[in-house]
Amino acid sequence: MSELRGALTLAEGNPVFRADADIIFNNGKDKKEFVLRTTLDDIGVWKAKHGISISPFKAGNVGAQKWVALIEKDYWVFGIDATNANDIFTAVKIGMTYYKVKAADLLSDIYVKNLNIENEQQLLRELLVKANQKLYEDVCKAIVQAAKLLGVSGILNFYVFSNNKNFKVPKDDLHAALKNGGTDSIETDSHSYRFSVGSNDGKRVFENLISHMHLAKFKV
Amino acid sequence: MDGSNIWVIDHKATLSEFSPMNLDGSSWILGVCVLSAINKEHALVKFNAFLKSEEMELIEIYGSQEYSGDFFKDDSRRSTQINNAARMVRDDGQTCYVYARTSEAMAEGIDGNE
Repeated sequence: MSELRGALTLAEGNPVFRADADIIFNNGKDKKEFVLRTTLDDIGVWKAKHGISISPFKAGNVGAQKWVALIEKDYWVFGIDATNANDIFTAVKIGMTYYKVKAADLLSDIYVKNLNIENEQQLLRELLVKANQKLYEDVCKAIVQAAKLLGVSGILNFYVFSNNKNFKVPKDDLHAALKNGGTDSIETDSHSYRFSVGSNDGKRVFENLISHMHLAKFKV
Repeated sequence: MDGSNIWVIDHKATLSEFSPMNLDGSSWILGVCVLSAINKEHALVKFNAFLKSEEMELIEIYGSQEYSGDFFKDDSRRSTQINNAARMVRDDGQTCYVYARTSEAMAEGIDGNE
């Protein structure tokens, strides 16, 4: 779809645990030249959680302004709800401006690591999987809708890192959710990966968790 | 804070299948719990309540000490995570759990992509 190799990430937390957007199947590497990272947290919340000093600035159109910061070599956009097509639209527009690339250069490869709902402790166990399925389904719909709003057509690769045995959304439930979200094909990499992981609230840190990579393709 | 200090508890505990701490189907975990308490006794009571709420059971405590930045001056991942947790506990008093290593992660060795 595109000459330039870029990627978009969703629902990031601490930069230390950012999603590796260079991984492709079978432990392959597809080094991205630019990665636009987005996080649900507003900038104040994010700074309080992670204690990282940044020099943020506001960007976007009037009415849809977001805080942005350059962290190491990546632009991060704050306050982006991955289930909201307009938020993704705004983030990609900002990425297009600052990286000087086309929408398709960012949207062709989308990564998310250990996405799960906020405030999960308040949910009954049997509702937790359903709530996470709904979350994944809504994210799928939002990225497809954002692609349409941005005039992107072709294949969107949506890479999801999640352990097959993660009880919050086990593999089969995850795949069902991605299908409900409209994917045309889904597969799981036979190679497993290891990442350190931080919880949504930043209060829990896990070292070297094994993770599995799932790829859902969307035709738009 | 309310005269409380910060405590750092190194331990091993079981994980139930549906423990909120269980992201990979593990049966146990090694970790460092960072919490605020007025003394060591209170810290241990609070730690046990935390484990219970997370559907975990204590196997062994390897060490419990009052936090001081003097002890965590190296730039290891463990120290970095403990220092950041101590900062957050000081801010809002909520217990943190860092440098967690699950039985599944340990089973295949700790060397990984990171």
